[in-house]
This record gives sequence, C-alpha cells and structure tokens, in this order.
Amino acid sequence: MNHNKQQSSDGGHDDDAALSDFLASLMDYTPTIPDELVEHFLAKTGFQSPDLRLTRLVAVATQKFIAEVASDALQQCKARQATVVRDKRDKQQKDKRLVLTMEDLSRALHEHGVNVKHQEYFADSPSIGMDSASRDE
Amino acid sequence: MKAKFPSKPKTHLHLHQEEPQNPSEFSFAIARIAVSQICQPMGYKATQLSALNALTVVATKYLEAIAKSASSLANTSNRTQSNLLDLTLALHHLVTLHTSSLFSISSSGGGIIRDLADFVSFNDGIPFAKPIPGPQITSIPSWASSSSSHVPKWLPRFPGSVISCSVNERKCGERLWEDLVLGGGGTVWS
Repeated sequence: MNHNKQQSSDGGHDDDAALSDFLASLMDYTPTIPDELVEHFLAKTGFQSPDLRLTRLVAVATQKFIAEVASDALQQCKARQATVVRDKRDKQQKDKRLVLTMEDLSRALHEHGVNVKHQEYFADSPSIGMDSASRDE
Repeated sequence: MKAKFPSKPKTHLHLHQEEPQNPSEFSFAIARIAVSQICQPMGYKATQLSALNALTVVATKYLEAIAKSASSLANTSNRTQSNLLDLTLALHHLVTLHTSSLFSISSSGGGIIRDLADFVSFNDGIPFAKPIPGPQITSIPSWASSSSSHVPKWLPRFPGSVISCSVNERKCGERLWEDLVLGGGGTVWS
C-alpha cells in the first residue's frame, strides 16, 4: 500500500498532464455520435455540465463500447463462416459478405453483460422447416 | 420548442420506415445512423434491421446509464453539475459491470481514461453523416395586442380558433363567456 501511494504521488503530475492532453485532444476528435444527440440524452437523465469536453467523453465512451460489441460480433460471424467453409458444402461463395445478425449480436452482447433474446421464427406447422433441411443433406 | 421532423433517414442500408412522429423516435433514428456508421468500417456489408435496432437501443441505454450514475454521484456530493471525477467513477462502475474479469481494471482508477485516450489516438474520428436540423422555434403569439388587461402580456395566446369554431350559438344571441372576453384566438369580438 505504501509503495502504491508513493507511485501515485510521483506519477500524479504525469497523469494530470496526460489527462489535460487527452481532454484537449477530445476537441479535435469528432465522435461519430453527434454532440446534439449526446446532449439530448444527457439532459433526459439529468446530467448537467457546461463543459463540452465531458459530453465528448461520454460520446467517445459509448462509441468505444459499440465498437467493441461490433468487433466481437464480427469475430463470431467470421468464426461461423470458417466452420461453414470447412464443411465442404457446394454453395455459392456467399460467405464473403459479412452481415450483422441477431445471433452474433446476442452472443457478443452476452459477454458484455447485456442479455438480448430475439424471437424465433414461428411457422404454421412443425414440418415446414424440416423439409428444406433434409433436402440439403 | 418544436422539432422539425426530417424526411426518412437515408443510410446506406436504404431503410423504408415511416417518418419519426415524436422526439424520441427522432433521436432514435439519429442514433441508428450513428451506430451504423460505427459498424461500417469494421467490414460489415449488411445488417439485419432488428440487430441494428437492438444495438441502437443498447447504445442509448448505455449512454443514459453513464449519465444517470454520473449525475447521481454528483448529487450525493451536494452538487448539481457533474465533473470529470463523477464521470470517471460512473464509467468505472459500468466497465466493472460489463466486463467479466475484474483484474482488467488497473488499481489507480484512471485506467479507463487511459483506455479511452488510446481509443481516441488509435482511431480516426468519423463525423456524423448528415447535418441535424435544429429545433424550429415558431413565433409564439402573445397577449401584447389584446385589450384584456387581466392577462399578463408575456403569456401566449390560446391555440387557434378552437374555442370559437365549435361553439353552437344558443338562442337569444348568447355566446360563451370565453369567446367574449378572450377574443376567440384571432377573431375580435367587440
């Protein structure tokens, strides 16, 4: 604990400098989520701050989260396509097209603590889907 | 303040949806465009509409969660305006929740800001695709021109001719008291 305290006091100046540099760089960086939208949601929840850098910080944090979720879903999608190719099916090369599906997204979000469950497809009778599957095999 | 409702949002996905009818749908449509812009540079060529909507809902709820915890932290410290420390602690709570491994957070607590700084320096900013129309403030008619002195001048007039048009005239020329006194929203009753 003492060692940690000494480290924090010595590195405090560096941290402050890095923090102020980061906040200054936020004004150059344009987050994808526009400032007006972020301010709308912040006002909706009671977050008040006259500082624009804080709104940019929130926008960047949200963007980082969405980017992480999307990249996880992308990895799921690519992993699924790799297994499909290995099965040696005589299909057209549709696997080059990456599509964000609900299945990949729910798996990616589950790792981040968000549970998303999408509705299954409801058919009229239980034998509708089974005929095409047996035909493929 | 009224918000001007735009035409249907044009993204590269060619969504065929109705126009937003209220401010929450409007903000949701904008958020959906922003989320699709974040996902596009990853390599996605297409998306399921339900998946994009779900991701947008998650994004808005994440944003609201950060703001809510930051504002509550500020309020517990007898402040109404949040500062950087509130925001950092709020992010700390969220990141601790949505990652399963606790040892990924550094002990100093500034690790999250460092992650964000790395994210900012690593990625180029992607500006939002379309300009957002500001809210249209139409001129509000006030009571300044009216002769009734009991009404303060800074109050807006009653909307339209709602009061006068649907009034049935009774026998003996009776009219509603409101129409006589208040001017009926545009028509002057002498």
